[in-house]
Amino acid sequence: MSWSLFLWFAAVAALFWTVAAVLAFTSRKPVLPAYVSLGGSAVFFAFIIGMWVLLKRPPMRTLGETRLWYSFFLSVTGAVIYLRYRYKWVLPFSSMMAVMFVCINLFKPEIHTKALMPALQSPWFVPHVIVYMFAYAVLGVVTLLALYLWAKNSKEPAGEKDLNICDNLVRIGWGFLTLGMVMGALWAKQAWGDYWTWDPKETWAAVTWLGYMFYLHSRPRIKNPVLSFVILTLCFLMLQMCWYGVNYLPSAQGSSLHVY
Amino acid sequence: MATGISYPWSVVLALLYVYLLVMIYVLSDRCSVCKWLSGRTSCLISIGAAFLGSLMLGLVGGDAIPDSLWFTLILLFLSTTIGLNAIRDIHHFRSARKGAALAHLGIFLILIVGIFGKGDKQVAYLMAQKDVTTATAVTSDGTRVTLPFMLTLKDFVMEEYEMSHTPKKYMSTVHLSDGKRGMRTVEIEVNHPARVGSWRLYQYKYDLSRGEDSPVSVFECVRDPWYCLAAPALWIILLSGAVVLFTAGSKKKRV
Repeated sequence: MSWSLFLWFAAVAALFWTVAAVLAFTSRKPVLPAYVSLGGSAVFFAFIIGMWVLLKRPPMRTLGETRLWYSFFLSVTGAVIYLRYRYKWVLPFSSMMAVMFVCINLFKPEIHTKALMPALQSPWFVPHVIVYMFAYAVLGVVTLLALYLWAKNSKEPAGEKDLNICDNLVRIGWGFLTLGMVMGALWAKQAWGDYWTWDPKETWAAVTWLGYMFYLHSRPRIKNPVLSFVILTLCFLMLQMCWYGVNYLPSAQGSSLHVY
Repeated sequence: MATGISYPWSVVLALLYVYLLVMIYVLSDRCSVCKWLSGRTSCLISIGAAFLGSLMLGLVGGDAIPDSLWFTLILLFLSTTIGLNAIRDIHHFRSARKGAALAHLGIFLILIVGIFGKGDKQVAYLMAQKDVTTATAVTSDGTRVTLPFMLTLKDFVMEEYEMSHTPKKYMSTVHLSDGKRGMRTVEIEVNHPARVGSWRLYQYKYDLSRGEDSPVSVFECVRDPWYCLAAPALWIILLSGAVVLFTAGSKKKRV
C-alpha cells in the first residue's frame, strides 16, 4: 500500500458513492443505495488500513491524512442518516463532499511520511483524532441540511420536524466535539503538564464548541428558522478555522503546539 | 486577576461563590435578578459572551487576554449561569435530561477550577546534570524553588527514526528520593511523567547541541493541587458528551 495507489482506491470508492447517489432517486429498493454507499466506504477504509500498516502508525498526523478520515466518515454518516431518515438528497450531498475531499488530497496532497514525534505517541492520539473527524463529518452534514432547508425556505418554510433533525445531528456532533476536546485535555495533562492553555487550536475548538452550545440553547427562543440556519452556518465556519484555519492564522504562528 | 488569589483564599472564595449561587437559586422565586440569572436570556448572553471572548482571543492571540479582568468576568458569568442550571438539574433530577445535567455540572466545576485555582499552580524547571543530586528548580521568572524531593539524573536517551532522523524518543532515568518513600529509580519520557507527592515531572528539554550525548536533561515540575477537582470534572464532561450523543433523537426534549 502506498499513496500512489490512492487514486485507484479513491476512484473505485467514488464510483460506488456516485452510483449510490443516483440509486437514491431511481432504485425501487430503498435500502440498496445505502449499502452501495457503504461498499464504497469499505473500499476507502481498506486504503486507510493499508496506509496504517505501511506507515506503522495511524494515518492521522498530516492534514492530508485527516482528510482521509473525513471522507470516510462523511460517506458513512450520509448512509446512516439515509437509512434512519430516508432523506434522498443526503446521499448525493455526502457523496459529493466525500469526493471533494478525495480530490483535494489528489491535487494538494500535503502528505509527508513524517514519523510520529514523541508527544503524539499516546493512547489518546487515535481516539482524539477519530472522534474529532467524526464530529466534523456530522456537523458538515447538518450544515448542508441547514443550507438546503434555508434555500427552499421561501417556497416551503422549514417545519418543526426538519429543525428537530438538525437539533439531533448537532447534539451528536456536539457530543463528539466534547469527547474530542476532553480527550485532548486529559492527553495534554500527560504530555505537557496542563490540560488547558488557550493554545490557538484549543481556543478555536472552544469557539466552535460554544457556538454549537449557543445553537442548542437558542432553539426554544428563536421563532424564525432562518436565524437558526445562519447560526449553524457560522458555527461551521468557526469549525473550519479550528480544523485547518489556525495553521494559516498570523496570531497562531510559533505559539501553537498544534501547527503541523 | 485570578492569578493573584492563592491558597487558602482561593478555596475560601470558591466555597463562598458556590454558597452564593445556592442562595441565588433558593431566592430565584422572590428576587427578579436571581430569577433572571437562572433563566434562558442570561444563559444565552453568557454563552454568547464566552463565544465572542474566545473568538477575539482566537483572532488576536497572546497570553494577555486569558489573564485579563474582562475575560475572567465573562467566564465568571458563564460559570454562574451554568452553575445555577447545574443546581436546578440536581434539585429536580430528570433522567431524560441526564446528558445536559452532567454537562452543566462538569463545565461548572472546570470553570471554578479555572477561575479560582489558577493562582495555586506552580511550575518550575529543574536542570539535572548527570550524577549530580539536586532539589532546586527555577520558575519562568527566574525565582529559585526548593522542591520537597531530591533528583539525580542517571541516564538520558534520545532515539531517532532511521529514515528521517526525526526524534522518536526522549527518556531520562532518574533517582528520586523524598522523605516518605526513600530512594527509587524512575524513567521519565514524553507522555509519561513521574509523580512525587503532589508534584509531576515532565521530560522537557535536553542539550540540543549534544543530542544523544546530552549530559543534562531538563524537567518541567508541575504542582497543580486543583487538578484533583479538574480531573473528575473532565471525566464528567467526557461522560456528558457520550450521554448526549447516545440519547440524541430518543425523545423530544428541551436543552
